[in-house]
Amino acid sequence: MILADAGNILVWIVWVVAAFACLGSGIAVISFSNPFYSALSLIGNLASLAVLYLLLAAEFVAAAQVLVYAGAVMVMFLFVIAYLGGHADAPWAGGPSWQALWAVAASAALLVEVIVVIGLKTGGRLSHSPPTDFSFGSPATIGRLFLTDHLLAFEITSIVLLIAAVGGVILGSHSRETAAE
Amino acid sequence: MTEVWWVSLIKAFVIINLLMLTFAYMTLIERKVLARMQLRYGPNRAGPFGLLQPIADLVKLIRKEAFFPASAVDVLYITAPVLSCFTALAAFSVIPFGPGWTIGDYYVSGEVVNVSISLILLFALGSLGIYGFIVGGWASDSKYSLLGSMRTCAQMVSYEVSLTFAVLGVVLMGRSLSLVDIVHKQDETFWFFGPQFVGLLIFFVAGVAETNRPPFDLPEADTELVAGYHTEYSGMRFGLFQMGEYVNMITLSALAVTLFFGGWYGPWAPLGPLWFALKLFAVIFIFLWLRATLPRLRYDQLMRLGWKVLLPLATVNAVVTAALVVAL
Amino acid sequence: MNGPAVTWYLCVAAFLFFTGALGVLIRRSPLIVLLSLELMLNGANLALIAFSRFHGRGDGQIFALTVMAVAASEVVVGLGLIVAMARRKLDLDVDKLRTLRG
Repeated sequence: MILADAGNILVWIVWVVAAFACLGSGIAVISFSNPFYSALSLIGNLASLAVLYLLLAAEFVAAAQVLVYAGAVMVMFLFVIAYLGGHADAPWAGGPSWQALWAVAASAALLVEVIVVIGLKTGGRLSHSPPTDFSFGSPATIGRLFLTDHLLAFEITSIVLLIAAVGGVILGSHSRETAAE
Repeated sequence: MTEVWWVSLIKAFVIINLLMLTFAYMTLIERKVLARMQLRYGPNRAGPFGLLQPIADLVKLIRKEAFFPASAVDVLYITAPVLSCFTALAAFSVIPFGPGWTIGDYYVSGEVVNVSISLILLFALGSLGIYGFIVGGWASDSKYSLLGSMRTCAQMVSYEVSLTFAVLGVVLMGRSLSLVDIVHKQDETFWFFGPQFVGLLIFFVAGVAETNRPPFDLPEADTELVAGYHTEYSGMRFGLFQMGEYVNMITLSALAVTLFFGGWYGPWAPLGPLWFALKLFAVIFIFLWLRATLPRLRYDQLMRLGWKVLLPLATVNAVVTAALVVAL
Repeated sequence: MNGPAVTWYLCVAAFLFFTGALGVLIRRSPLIVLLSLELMLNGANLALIAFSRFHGRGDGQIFALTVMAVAASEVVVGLGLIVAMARRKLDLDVDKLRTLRG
């Protein structure tokens, strides 16, 4: 951690603020009993992730994250939550059950294991990143990659989105209820 | 040549103040234009020609009792108008209003910030502004507010899709997502309102719907759902919602000028910001003109227009533009 | 401008992923389970983008954009299911919704 100039300190400060906002809002998502507050915490999480993506020079992905994820997907979530009302369970109601304790232990064990594996396998190799040029995360680069190397992923994504849209329309239509009774 | 950081800061401060001044006098201009179209004078009591009317309105709003519903969620209720106003003001930061100038030793660029993704940054901030309305309506804990805010947000989300598609044609012709590059491209070739006429039309209709302006203002019309998402707001909090709405309108007009009408380039003399301001006020006048003349659309008509008319048209426009750009 | 090394971003991503996993395991409301799923997907996205920056290639960002599109689709279908369940007056509790029969 070589604080060579003011720019470097600024990057570290922004990183610390964004990372802690990310982690704090992540914990808030699973802790609130009202799902509306959980959804709002997730929006905060997505915004701080966008800041982290900007620090990693992925500008198009950061803008797409805010535009698509935080701007459209979460609006859908908030619609459904406002429509269905806020009667959700309190996570620790009735004292922590054995199930909950084992879940926490299992998650913590997996977390430690992943960090240990990453540390052992990569050693010190993750400390140095190659310098990237100006066009690294730019829309032109992403577009070119999508249309040349990853054309199949591009086409399949469009089909997946179409299927989801059709599925959403079918699930939301009223005639299913009367047909089933 | 890059800008020193404190020059950007000063420029941002100046731009925000100019924006807020424009918003204040936009309220007066709107009332005057509406009045003249309805064959009456507008406000002309406060000051000569009513020029002090915005000041009077501001003082009235500040002095009004800002009531607080007892069952409202406090933090969300207070931050909702702040969020919608913040995103509206921040979205103006990427709009170029002039070529760069060199003043003394320092370079001052023609926009507050220039990034390679400035167009989607603007749309992203617009999407974030929707949350101000959703959260404000929900946090007011009132059925009128909730219903009105749900309608408003459904409308805004629907027309946002058509808005982005309409702009796709301009991006294809301008070869870049950066607004500065698009403006320069229009100087090199031709202003995009010619070849992209369909795109301009779709952009305009979707823009009017996106900013909740008449004839698409059903969710906040007084005779419909009381006042929609700002039913339970009064005083300066309501003023912040209004500021968000008007500044959204100004930003959208500025975007239309940048994308379709050549930005700050003029037919003859190189007076960058002056041409930009002229074109901006011309587009804003069209917004006001629509308010004075057209009746309101019903909600189902509104949604049908957005999804069944504008979206297919915008898609066809994008496809045809792509084909022509590749072919020519 | 040297910021934090990629390891730090991976720690944040791992923590996010396991917070989401914890949410999926503990919470009973399907809405919150969906939100925790989104957390997990975002943790994976952050890891992808961090590695993309580490290698200097854009492929990780492509994968992250695809993950975002798939997450959006999954949210649409998930919310449609939840709304359909609420319309049939079913209890929104994943412990109680055990059978496929409505």
